[in-house]
Amino acid sequence: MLNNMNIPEEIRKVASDGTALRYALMEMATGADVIALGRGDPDLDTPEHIIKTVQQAVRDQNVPVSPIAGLPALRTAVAEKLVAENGLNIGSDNVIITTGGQEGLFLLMQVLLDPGDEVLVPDPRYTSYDQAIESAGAKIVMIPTDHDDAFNLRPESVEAAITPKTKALLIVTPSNPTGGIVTEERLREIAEIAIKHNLIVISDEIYEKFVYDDWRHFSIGSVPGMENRTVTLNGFSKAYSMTGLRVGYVAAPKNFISGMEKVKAMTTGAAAGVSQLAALAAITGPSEPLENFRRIYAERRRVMMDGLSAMGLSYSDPRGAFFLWTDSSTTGIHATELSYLLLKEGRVLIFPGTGFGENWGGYLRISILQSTDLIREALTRMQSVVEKYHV
Amino acid sequence: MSETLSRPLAERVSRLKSAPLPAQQKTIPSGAVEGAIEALASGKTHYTTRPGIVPLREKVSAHLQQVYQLDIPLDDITITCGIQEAEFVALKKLATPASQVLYTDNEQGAVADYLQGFMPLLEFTLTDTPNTPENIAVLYIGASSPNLADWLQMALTHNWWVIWNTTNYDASALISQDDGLASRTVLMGSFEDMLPGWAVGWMAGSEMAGQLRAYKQSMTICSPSISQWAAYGMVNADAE
Repeated sequence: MLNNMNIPEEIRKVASDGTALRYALMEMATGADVIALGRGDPDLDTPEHIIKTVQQAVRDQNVPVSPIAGLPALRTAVAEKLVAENGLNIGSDNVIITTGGQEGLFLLMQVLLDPGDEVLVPDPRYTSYDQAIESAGAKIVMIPTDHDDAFNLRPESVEAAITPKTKALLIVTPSNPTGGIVTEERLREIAEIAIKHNLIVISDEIYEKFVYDDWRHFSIGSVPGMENRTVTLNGFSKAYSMTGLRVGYVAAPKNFISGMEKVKAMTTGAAAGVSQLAALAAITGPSEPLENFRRIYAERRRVMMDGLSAMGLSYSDPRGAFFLWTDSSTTGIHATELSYLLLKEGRVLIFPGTGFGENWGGYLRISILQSTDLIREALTRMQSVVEKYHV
Repeated sequence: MSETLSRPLAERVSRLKSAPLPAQQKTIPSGAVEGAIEALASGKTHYTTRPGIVPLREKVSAHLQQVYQLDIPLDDITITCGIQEAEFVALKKLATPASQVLYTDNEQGAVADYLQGFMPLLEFTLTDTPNTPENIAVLYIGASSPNLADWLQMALTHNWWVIWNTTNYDASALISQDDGLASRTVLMGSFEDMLPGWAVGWMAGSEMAGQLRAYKQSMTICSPSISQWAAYGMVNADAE
């Protein structure tokens, strides 16, 4: 329930639609003085070797027109990566290149779901999944996760939500918005459940490169028996700081890839050839830029954790991704209101938990995609707003 | 990995057509080369705004003013991943399942064949004769037609939406700013005749512009940044 009557109509009217709420806040966040800790768009530069490679290809008039499923060289490179790093048993025919990870999800739902099907989705969730699922006539069923468990997914919660209509389970690890991961132990148990109930598992691994401390990323598609029931989503936007180029990929059994290719032909066409060249340079290039990114994000994460703790705010253990899922309930201010106040008075853009599900009015999703200096400045501004409005 | 999923795919998939072969690669215009290289050099590799970069939308707006005498606000213009995305989004949002789409075609029937490709996903029906105007939701202008003026008048009378693919049919000023049809007309075009494979096109106009943009965003967030800057470089160089 929103109490603050000063919240403007453009926020109030979209407060129950997570995606629209996030975009409404972004559109209000104009001005150079706003520190953006909202959208998951890495601020770091795209690695230089990617830029140089694409520039040379453009200069040389060597930008291919891609087949709908993607450039063969890129599909091969992605398959090789998934075999070597993620333990999947696939070839290039099991891969389709998409116009970003989000399109991968859209295509996936069109190919997988019939009207009336149910898809299990952890709560909180990246609400942009909703439209893809609902567009196929299917229904979202929430799986509860909680702070005390670092938003890890509990196998028993998954099994309890299964009905005869359940067709798929969506796993996002590392998680947007919570920064949690689903551990290998849990994923192996969930795999058993998926096999037992004949479920498809959709594994969104877009943040796999950013896992911190001693935590490790694990792909459920590598579990024996899961190869014909796992669809793996990933992309280049987050890992290589190239969100604008719009390149993602999906790995799945061949009939599934063939179906997605047909849908893609009618909906968006092939991913841009110039963008796919960038992706190819990224995946076949040196690993040092990724390691550097991870080191920078780890440092920022620590600064943010220390600052929030000093402010008296707790957060879920941020094991991966770019986000701190922060408990703001102690302020006594609903998260939607608090986000608006932080933007209006603190000039800091932070998304409310309600941008990721209606149950999360006591949480904020705070990104670490600014320099440490700006993160410190943002924390100072946040503190003044919280102190002013604390109930 | 096995050949098939452990469960059958959605029923609609069996009715989808096979994907086409890619278009022929063309020489990249010098303006596009410069636009792309400069964008890469200046770090324009991150999300653009949802509607697309302002300079390119300004060029589309100027084009619509020059060719069609239509004043369409920048906020009502969205840069898309090629015309394919514009057409899917417009048909998805304007044609309800089981409603009729009236279309203009060429002698080869290419437009009908093309539109049939959407039907497993969107479930509208097609007609080339407006016998039941009350059942028609959308007039799709895909080719020149001697009946077009009459059909546009019927669109106005019966509140049809109009989708005008300007890449196939480039008649001027059939829809005027003031006749009431502009608010129900979505124009679309592409830069891909000169930049095949760069996935950049546009859709513009209508009182549904905001909803069309939001649906496009739900699919692909924004259109590829370097492609947008390449298209802008090309159009800007042409203008100079």
